[in-house]
Amino acid sequence: MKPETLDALLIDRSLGELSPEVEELLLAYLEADPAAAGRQTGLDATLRTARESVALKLDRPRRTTPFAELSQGRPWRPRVRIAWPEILRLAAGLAAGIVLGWQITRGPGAPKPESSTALHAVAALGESKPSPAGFWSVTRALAQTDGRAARRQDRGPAGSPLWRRPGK
Amino acid sequence: MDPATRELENLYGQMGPALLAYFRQHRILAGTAEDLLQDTFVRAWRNFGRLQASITPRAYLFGIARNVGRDALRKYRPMQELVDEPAAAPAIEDGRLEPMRAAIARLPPSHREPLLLKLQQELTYVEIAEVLEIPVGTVRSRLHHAVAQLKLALNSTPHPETRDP
Repeated sequence: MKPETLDALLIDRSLGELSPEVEELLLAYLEADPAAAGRQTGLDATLRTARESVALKLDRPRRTTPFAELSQGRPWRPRVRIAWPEILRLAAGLAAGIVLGWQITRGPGAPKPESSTALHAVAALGESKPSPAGFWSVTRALAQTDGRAARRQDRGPAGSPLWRRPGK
Repeated sequence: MDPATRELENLYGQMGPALLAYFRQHRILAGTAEDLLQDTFVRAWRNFGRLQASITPRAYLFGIARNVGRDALRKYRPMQELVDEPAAAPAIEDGRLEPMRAAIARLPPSHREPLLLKLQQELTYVEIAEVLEIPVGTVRSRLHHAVAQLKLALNSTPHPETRDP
């Protein structure tokens, strides 16, 4: 028998597609040819593993058929299917667009709030003259901010410890 | 209940689990598998005459299910075939099954689809031919090619029970 013919018959037998008469003839051939019988064993093992690898889990359907409504002539309408993958993609794109737009409006060219200007404005509204104030007062905050700026100006490059030459 | 509806109710009970599993193995369709199952049987109900003329009710229902699945998939992935969707791997993984699963995934769709209908649903060559709307000889040759490819792929991996002696 030609090898390709034998292989085809062996595969058909492994897949349960041989008629009883043809299977009987093939079995007689395999008894006389141990090498061919070995090939059948290998094919059976391959298909057994293949079946296991793609086996499906079977569950009973939770819903019943709509035949009762259809039999009474009532129209059957499929449930509204929410395309969750599409909705999630759209939502992600929208969120990305919002974040990107917010980042752009907060970029280098965008006006930033001037905290010290705001402090001065608040101080002008609430207090007519500088006075010693509590820990959290606007006047105290202003005084600290202005003091730091004055100290920076006073030091200058020559007066700053950073600029003092080693050994002097 | 009329005889046609009664027969379809019986088929729903017998084949519902297998058809549900057929839809659930596709990642995109898994969430709407129950709806797709209902669609399948509604179409079968509306074309009951064709059911009676088919080779077997099983072949007819799987043929409808295949079309229902492809119509649903086209809404999300117009260019994708039903068999391109990978089957979900089981929770407990057997090491020797992964090479086989990979070998099956490498098969061209025209060979993988009849192979899965055979291995998963145990359809005959004739039934697969009706589902896929191709000649029986074509089903046979594609399955032979697919099995030969699986043997070749597995013989190159160290799994003694699948190797040729």
